[in-house]
Amino acid sequence: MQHPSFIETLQLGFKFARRELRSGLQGFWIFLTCLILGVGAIAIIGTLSVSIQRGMTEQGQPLLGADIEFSVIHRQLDKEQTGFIAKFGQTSTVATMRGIAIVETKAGEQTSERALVEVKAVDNLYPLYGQLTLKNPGTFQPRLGKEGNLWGAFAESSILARLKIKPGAIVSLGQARFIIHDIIAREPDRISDGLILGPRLMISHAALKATGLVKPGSLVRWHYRVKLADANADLEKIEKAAAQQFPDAGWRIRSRNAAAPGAKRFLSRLTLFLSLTGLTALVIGGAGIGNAVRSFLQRRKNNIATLKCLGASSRLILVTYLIEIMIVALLGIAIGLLLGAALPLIAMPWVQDLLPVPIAPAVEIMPLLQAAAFGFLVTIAFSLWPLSQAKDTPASELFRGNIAQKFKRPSAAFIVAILITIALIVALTLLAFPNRYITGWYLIAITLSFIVLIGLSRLIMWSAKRFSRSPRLMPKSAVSRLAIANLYRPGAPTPSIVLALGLGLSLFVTIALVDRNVSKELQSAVPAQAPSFFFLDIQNNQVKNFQAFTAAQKGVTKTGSAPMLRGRVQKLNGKPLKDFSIAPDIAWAFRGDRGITYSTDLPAGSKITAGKWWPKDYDGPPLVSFVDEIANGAGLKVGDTVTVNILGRSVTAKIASLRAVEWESLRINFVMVFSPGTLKGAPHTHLVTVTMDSGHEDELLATVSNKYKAVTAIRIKDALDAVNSLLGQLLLAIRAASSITMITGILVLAGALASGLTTRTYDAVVLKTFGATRTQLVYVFIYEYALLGLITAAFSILIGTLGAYAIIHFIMEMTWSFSPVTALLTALFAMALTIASGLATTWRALTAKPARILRAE
Amino acid sequence: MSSSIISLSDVKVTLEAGAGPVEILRGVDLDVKPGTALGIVGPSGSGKTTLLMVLAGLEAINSGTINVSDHNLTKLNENQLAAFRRDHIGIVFQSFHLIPAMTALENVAVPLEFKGTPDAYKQATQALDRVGLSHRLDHYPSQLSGGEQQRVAIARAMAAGARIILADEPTGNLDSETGDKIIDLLFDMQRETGTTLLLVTHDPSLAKKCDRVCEVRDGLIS
Repeated sequence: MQHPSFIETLQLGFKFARRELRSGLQGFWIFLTCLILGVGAIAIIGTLSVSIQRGMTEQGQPLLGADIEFSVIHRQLDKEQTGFIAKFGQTSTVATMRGIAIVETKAGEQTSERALVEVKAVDNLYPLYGQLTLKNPGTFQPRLGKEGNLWGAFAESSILARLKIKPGAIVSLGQARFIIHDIIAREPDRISDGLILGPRLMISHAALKATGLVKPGSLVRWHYRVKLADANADLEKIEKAAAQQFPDAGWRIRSRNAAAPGAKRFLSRLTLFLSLTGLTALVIGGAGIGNAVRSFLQRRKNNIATLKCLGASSRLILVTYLIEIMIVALLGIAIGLLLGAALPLIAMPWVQDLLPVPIAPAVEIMPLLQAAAFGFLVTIAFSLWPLSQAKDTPASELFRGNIAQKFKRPSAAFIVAILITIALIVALTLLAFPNRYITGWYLIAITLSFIVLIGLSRLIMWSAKRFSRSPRLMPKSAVSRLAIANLYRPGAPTPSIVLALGLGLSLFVTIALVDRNVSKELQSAVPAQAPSFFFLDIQNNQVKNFQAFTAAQKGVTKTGSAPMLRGRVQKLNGKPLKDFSIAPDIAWAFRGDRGITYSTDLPAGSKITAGKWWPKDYDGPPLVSFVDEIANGAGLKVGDTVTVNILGRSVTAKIASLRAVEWESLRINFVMVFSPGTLKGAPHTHLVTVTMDSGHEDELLATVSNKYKAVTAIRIKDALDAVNSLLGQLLLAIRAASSITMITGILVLAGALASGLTTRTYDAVVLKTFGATRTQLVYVFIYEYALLGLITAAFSILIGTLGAYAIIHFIMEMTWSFSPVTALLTALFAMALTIASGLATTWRALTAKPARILRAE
Repeated sequence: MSSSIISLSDVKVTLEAGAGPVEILRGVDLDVKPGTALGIVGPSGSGKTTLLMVLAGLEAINSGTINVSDHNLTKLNENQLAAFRRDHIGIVFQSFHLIPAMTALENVAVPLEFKGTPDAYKQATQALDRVGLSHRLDHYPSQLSGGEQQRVAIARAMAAGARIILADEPTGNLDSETGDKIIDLLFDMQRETGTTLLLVTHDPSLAKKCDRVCEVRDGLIS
């Protein structure tokens, strides 16, 4: 007997698949929707992510405002350094600092309206690239000049709302008075300044000088921006030359290729979380796909049995139905990709308004390919098991009663194929998403969730069986008995519901708990003893008086002060930073300029964990105390050395001790605290904290800013609001992505119930024929769905809590607290959702006319 | 109180079909005394099954009156009809109509459970024992032969103590030998319990075993 070749089998398979598909896509709608949602979500998020990254790269010049920028803090560059920079092209200087703007009347009297502003002083060449957009367009530089005793200024609209003023109003900043000529609609280089706490106030350099705010040690950052004469000049070569010629310049050099690294990191992390949420939607959808394939093959069992009886080989059956499934999958993936390519383009104008970075809208091939690959792999992974059953089940068994096939393990070849597909999904996930650490943990978490939920569904079915067979445990009411029995009957949708609802809910709980913990942390991060204000830029000779003055104000309970300088770490143990592999979570401490201080005594809220604090009268070579977790992350220990560039001078200090710090107390603390000797002589300012009763804060701000015009006040509440608002946007985006996951979960749940609708309708009719009332059947269904929803919710809360704990504790390093209200609400939501979806899907079974069904059988 | 356990007067049933309304029963009158075995014969499509459905309250009528066990079925709503069937009627179908996902024992226990019988499973076990299936309690319908499935259906119809058994061609899906055994079982149980049996059949020899035979033709009883 001759067997058909593989090619012949394939040809035959195509022929049969085409014939079967002629009857339409009935029964494939859930399959298609799951695939469209999952693939679409990954494609949309991926396209947006690539568009943003490309936008940031292509728009590097306007984002940075230059081809290359040299910036220093506290001081301006010397002539030799500016001369070196000027060689490369046109140079523009920008200065940024914080200040307190106070509204004045036309007569020059100060009002009580005042606010923290981010001052940006620009010259005539600003911006070298891009365009500053004002509400009333026109040449802007002349309008920043001085007219009478008023300097011109532009402000962001938020400052006007905050100070309750309109363009034309007068504000004072330090010793200078300004008239606000216009509103800034778009500042091209805003994102390169990182997180800014207050609204922008743009002035001229001359005006900045007139404010009197620039003093030795003031927190002013001077940016020297270059528009290269030779556009193709090698930026890396310039950076190297700068480092070689001025090794102690202490400048931060940024090029157009990495204009806003902070924003890029933030967005990359955000899109990673969003992509993983999208992938979860696809994996949950996978359960729906598997279900749809199983019930599709169940409906086709007579066809399969007939084909087998007529001589179709198992291989032909497998090829036919695999082709059919893949054709439908192709359709779903194509629609998902179409959405992924088109929606970002359509939504670009709105997204652009929400994001502070430019987006380069285009059809991005790579994310679409990735989404398609995920779609195909997930479809194959979830279809192989039911396909193996159709292939391996004998025709005689397929012809027998309507009962669902018993659990059958696929053959070894199928298990290997399933494992290979899963391995490919894992490999693709690790390759497609940037952060291996988070992605790896995500994969472990989702695999464990899968195993736990599959185990749970088996446990529910086993327990329900034991429960209803035990005369002792069996419930008295027939309704409860039937409901429990429905959980374990052959073909019961329990595994699909538990898996789909469980994965969706687990993610939901994780996000809800992370959301609550972060919000709580930010709110409770202002404990009673925490200061209400940080006052910056207090000069050496002012600090004592300032502290005494603030201490005497109404409501003030405590003040504290610390010297404050800015410095950047250059070397560790004499070797440049690039030679060290620093843990990503603490890399911020070694990136750019950081606040540093010196102190005779161990700062409050710190505890020595290694080494010793220096004696009060210590006068030897520089010593430094490091925060232990930062030192550990960089592999530093007591006795090692650290070289820090402070005001253009390199200071090498030996690590004398490591400290554990309670950052949450918001008391003054620094990563690096130096011994006083070396730094005391350097020009620097002081930081003063004021702890007070709420209610007198506005009064204090008014009194202090009247008397000390050059001092900058940061209200903790305002700073936290700024962080909160940023975090709020992040959580909103993640919540939006997770809602796709939840919708997929509901779809899979509905699909699982819908696939058993014919059976349920039949059962309901027979039960009604033998005396069950519709009310009783409604109760049976409600009990069944409520039980499933409740048990699944309980485990989802457990999985979600573990997930949220891992994120809060290990990734965000925050204090963890469990929220029973969130858990309870989730459980109730899950129960309501399961009952509602269950009844909505199966209502037809309850209302079916018995006679028609009984006749049809 | 009527002396008839079943009383139909001028019952008409019209069903909507694709090609328009079809008159299935066109004015049926029927009286059946308690304990009677009534054979209902007639050609396919004559309305025999519809007549049984009407008697069970599973098919609504367009006009006429139906009294079964002192219940005017036209006055009962869906839930009351279900309760009526639970308390008074047992049905045996040609295609058994067992619930595939329930074991034999669970299938038989269903009407007892809905009746609130405290020892539903015990009584269901006894009923299965009476039909000779005490060794098949935990088997699912797909694991039973056709004859065994029909015996489960008979046990289910009898288990809750129904006074009326409606049997719609109970041997139609069985071979003759098994069919004979099923019919013997049905009649034996009917006699033992004194129930009223309405047996729809094509088989004249089977009909002859009944106390009385009526023929349904073109929606009328002759």
